[in-house]
Amino acid sequence: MTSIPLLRAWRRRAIGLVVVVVAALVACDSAEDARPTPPPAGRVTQVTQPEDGIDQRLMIALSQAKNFHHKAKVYMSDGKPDLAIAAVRGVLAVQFPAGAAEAEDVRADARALLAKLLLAQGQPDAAMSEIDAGLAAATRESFFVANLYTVRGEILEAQAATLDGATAPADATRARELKRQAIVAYDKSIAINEALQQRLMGHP
Amino acid sequence: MRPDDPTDLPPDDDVPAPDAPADATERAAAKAFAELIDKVVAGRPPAAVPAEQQELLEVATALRASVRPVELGASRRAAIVESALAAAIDRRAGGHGRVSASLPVVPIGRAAGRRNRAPWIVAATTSLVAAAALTLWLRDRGAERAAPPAPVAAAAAPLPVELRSRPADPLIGAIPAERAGAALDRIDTIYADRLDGFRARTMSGGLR
Repeated sequence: MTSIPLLRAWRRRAIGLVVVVVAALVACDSAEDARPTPPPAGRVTQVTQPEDGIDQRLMIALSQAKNFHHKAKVYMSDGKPDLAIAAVRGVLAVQFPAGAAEAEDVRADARALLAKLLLAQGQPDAAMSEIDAGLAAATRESFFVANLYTVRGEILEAQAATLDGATAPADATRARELKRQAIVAYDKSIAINEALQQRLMGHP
Repeated sequence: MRPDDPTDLPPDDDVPAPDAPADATERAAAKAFAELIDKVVAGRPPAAVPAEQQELLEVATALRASVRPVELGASRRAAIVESALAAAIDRRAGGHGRVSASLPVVPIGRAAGRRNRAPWIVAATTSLVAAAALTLWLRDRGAERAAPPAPVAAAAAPLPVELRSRPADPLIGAIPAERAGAALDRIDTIYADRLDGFRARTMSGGLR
């Protein structure tokens, strides 16, 4: 007889307790959510991306570039500069993995070689176009970019040399301007090399 | 007329007729008896009661009990039940009307007190457990938010330099002017170096 009222009392108390606990949880959760989100802390480490590691795709790309260079050498040794130039152009068409740092270096080096081959074939303007394209594609200073400036200086020097024998005052002026630009290109190459060497040696 | 005949009543000269109105003496006697019953019911029975009134009093008490059952107080009721239980337990234990000392007999009043406190004990315990769980939960969440990303850093530790794609400047170094066109040698150097890294990474299980 007395158990039913007692059970009812227990049930009321239990329901009340559950309501209080749920309300407390909801309030705490809301308070947690209402807190201002802290600014993202600085990363302790840099998460490794899949393309960061040396993988098979990078090795295939480097292998293809290597093979194109060897083809070019064979063609050059065989007296076929046009085929050699075409082979070097093949290096520029190699698909490197996205974000591979070696890609920019390899392409810059290929453009430098291509410019030299074109220059040797009497095509200084085409050679300069390759240099300009290489410099335009550069996203950072490197020894390869410095080498592009070196080749640029060689091209300018060669162009000036063709005008050295000219008697026309305009050609003489043009020759002087080309030599001046060549010196600027060499200086740029030297500056880049010095900065990079300082950086690699740990100096700021 | 037989002597044991129940209908053999004494002469009823002093017994009034059933429908006769009560006289003063009869009303006074009734009033006195009513007062006596009130005292007995109130628990203040007189020290001595005439035999004639004692019989009437017992009858009146029985009639009242049959019409209106007496409800004992909680303490009185508990005491009666407790004594009855104790007697029963003692009889089962072979005693002689006394409660065996070896049997834990909990007084009903104390049990009732425990029963009344039980919901509050349960509620308090539940509240404490809920508060503890809530505290632990919030602490874990706070720690999770404030903790440095050490596990992530450990899980995603950067690869060693020699295993990563990287600029070839440290490998090649400054390119002399007379070596400006020696791209073949440089690509061979780059390829050989990266092949070493690729093999090391493959050997270490970094690549599947």
